[in-house]
Amino acid sequence: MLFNSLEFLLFFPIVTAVYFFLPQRFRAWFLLFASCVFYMSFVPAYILILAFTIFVDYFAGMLIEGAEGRQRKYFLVASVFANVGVLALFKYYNFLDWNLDWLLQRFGRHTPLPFLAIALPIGLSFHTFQAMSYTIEVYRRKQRAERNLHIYALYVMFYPQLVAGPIERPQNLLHQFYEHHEFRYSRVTGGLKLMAWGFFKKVVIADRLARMVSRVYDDPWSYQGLPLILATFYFAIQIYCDFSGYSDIAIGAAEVMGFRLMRNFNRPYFARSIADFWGGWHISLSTWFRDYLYICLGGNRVSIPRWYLNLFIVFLVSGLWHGANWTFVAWGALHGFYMLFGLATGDLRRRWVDSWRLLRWPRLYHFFQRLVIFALVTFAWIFFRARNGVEAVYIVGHLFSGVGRKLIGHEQLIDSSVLLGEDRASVAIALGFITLLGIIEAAQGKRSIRGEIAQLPAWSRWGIYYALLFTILWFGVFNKTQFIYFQF
Amino acid sequence: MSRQNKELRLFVSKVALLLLPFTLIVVSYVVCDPFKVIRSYPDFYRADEQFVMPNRDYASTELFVRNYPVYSYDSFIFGSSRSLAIRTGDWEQYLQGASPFHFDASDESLYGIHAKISYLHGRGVAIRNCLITLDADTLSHVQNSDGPLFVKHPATSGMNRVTFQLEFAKGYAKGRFLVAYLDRRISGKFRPYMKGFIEDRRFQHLPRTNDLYFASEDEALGADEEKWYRGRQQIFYPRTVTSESSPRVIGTVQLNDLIEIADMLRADRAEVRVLIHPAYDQKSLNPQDVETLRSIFGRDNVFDFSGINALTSDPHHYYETTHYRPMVGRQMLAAAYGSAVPGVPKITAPKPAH
Repeated sequence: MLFNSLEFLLFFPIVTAVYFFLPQRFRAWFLLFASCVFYMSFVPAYILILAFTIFVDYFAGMLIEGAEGRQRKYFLVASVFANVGVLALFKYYNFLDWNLDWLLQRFGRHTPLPFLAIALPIGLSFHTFQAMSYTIEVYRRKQRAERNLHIYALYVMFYPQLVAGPIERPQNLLHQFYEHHEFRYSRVTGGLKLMAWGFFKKVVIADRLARMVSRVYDDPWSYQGLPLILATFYFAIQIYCDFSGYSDIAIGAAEVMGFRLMRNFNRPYFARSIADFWGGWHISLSTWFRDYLYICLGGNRVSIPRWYLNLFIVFLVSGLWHGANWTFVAWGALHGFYMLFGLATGDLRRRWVDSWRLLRWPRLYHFFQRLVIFALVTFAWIFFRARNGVEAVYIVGHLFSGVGRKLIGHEQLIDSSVLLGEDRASVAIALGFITLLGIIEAAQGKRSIRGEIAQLPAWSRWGIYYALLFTILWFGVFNKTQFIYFQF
Repeated sequence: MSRQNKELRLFVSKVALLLLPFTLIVVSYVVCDPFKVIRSYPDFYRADEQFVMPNRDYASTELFVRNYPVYSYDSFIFGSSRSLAIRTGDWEQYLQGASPFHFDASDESLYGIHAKISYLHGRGVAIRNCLITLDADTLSHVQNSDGPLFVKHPATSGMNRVTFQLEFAKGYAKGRFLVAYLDRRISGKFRPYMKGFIEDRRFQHLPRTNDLYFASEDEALGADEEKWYRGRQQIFYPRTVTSESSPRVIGTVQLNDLIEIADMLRADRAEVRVLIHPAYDQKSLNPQDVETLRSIFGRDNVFDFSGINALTSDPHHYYETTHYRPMVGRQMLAAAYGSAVPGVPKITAPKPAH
């Protein structure tokens, strides 16, 4: 059941209404039931995988808490092994099989491992990571083991964030299932407004751009130059609107029922460094890697070469987390390289900025920084979106083909190829909404737009609400396009 | 009253207020049923009711379902609105005792033709004669179409009926359409800005065969043909194409669909003719695509009227640059079923080797 489907339009109000009308003692059970229905609407059988990890981690949590000494570690390792094992089997097995086979072919042999014709369960990486954070936190004694199986199951399966996060921590979410949430007008409407904004980003911008991006990235060989640049730029906007839109809907839906989920995005395209970007992009995942991988590797309390290695490993694993494909590894490696390059040249760049006194014009300088980071991040998206390495390399190699000829005036700069198969009106609408999004995001850096709107007189507030709803209705693309991050 | 109940009441009242315009849109949609898909209609093309062109795929399929028990159709014309120039009355002259039905759809796709033939095949309707009319655009689309004018009937596409109905409701709620429709409905006047949403043309529909005539155009042409064309000189742009053909459009998916269509028709022992539309732009269908069609349906059964030829050279053969006139359809039928048409390449096509 996609958030942008009719089914969800019925599911959400029904579940929310029943939730508020039920006595507290039945609410968690009901939410668990609703979450099962939500998850089973994709592929019913895959709930068994979820049930397996829930049982393993539920008992592991209690065993870890009750054990002492090295036994605690053994239980943790067993739990992590079970979770990573599920992930490895369903997500990485065939990838390993292909690569092993490729390697063995160099020696004239083939892998004896069979190919598994199985689809990746929706959101597997998300709920596996959320489940792992629970056992690790119990091991670190920062979280008590949960005694109620249905509450723990709900922690893993809570439907708003089940399939694409935010990846929650037990300290933030578990206790909320015991709290009594009364119907509060301001909170419910706040959640609904956030959901509407998420829908706007998803169906008005992301799904509109998706058509143009797919046209180019599904057949990159037919394009070169400006169309490739535009499709890559559109993809950068598409993936942001798609994923942050999903997160807004998830956080908003939870907020309506009284649950607080962690923020997942904070204006990443306004970042002035790669570290800034990762502080604002998929925050729940980057903090997960920081808390459970980077720190375990030693973090920055090691020698500089080891610190750099730790960072690079985190980015490589982050890339692989997104998908079993070398393109994702390349994407992670590229970000790792950006990060290390930024750290290694930090002093040099600061001296250069001082000597040129660039901070005399801080706005201009910051704008330039943002532009550079956006360009670097957008370039890296090529590897994320391309279907394979060969196509990614082709796109990189042909990004600027023919652009020079056009710039010096031998050919028309703007021709029909820049429309990427859409009509002018559709492209103009897309660009108009991208500009609007940029303006709103820029304004949000200084103040809360939701707070600002709340201060307006009723007629202007209602005007904005109607404008948002009618924009979604009139300009939304409702073709049940899946959220990009569902595949992870 | 508790605080919770007070806040709940406030919320419900504000949501009701917020949803009021949307509720009105939904109510007006259900009451007006502009696309004629909610209720059953004896005639989809009644002049006094017609503000919006019905979904031709839906109308054709509904009519077929309703009429088949009475007329036992055994001969079918498939294709887009361009196929309307090929009238069943003209076609019947080449068939013996057939009961023809024009099973076309707006902007018909290969997907649509495949779905319709599969539907007929699944219902056990024996197809004796079959005319498949197509062009590059028809062949390139292999998925169900979007939007109220083009989405396929659930009976042929297998689409969920709720999703199908929603396509129309969404189309109705689109701003420009909604304004144009309500304006036309309330004022009773057609204004220039409505063009593209609201129909100002009249059609003549033959319920038995599902033929649809462009009545307004035919009357105007009948009154003074030269005057009619003089007034449309800006529409009939000069063609500059010398020997351009469309890019290849038949890929793996198309090939599979075409082979399945041919297999189903072969199982019925149907007499098949594939007619490639004579498009005004004079772009010919890619020769390799034509060859593929011939290899699937038989060399003698594929008739390519696209490109530069006697049919496409004369602007008088067209209503506008998209639709050609029935006089062209008659010549195409003559070429496909017997007598030759000068300038049409098919006539010189080589005979298959025996």
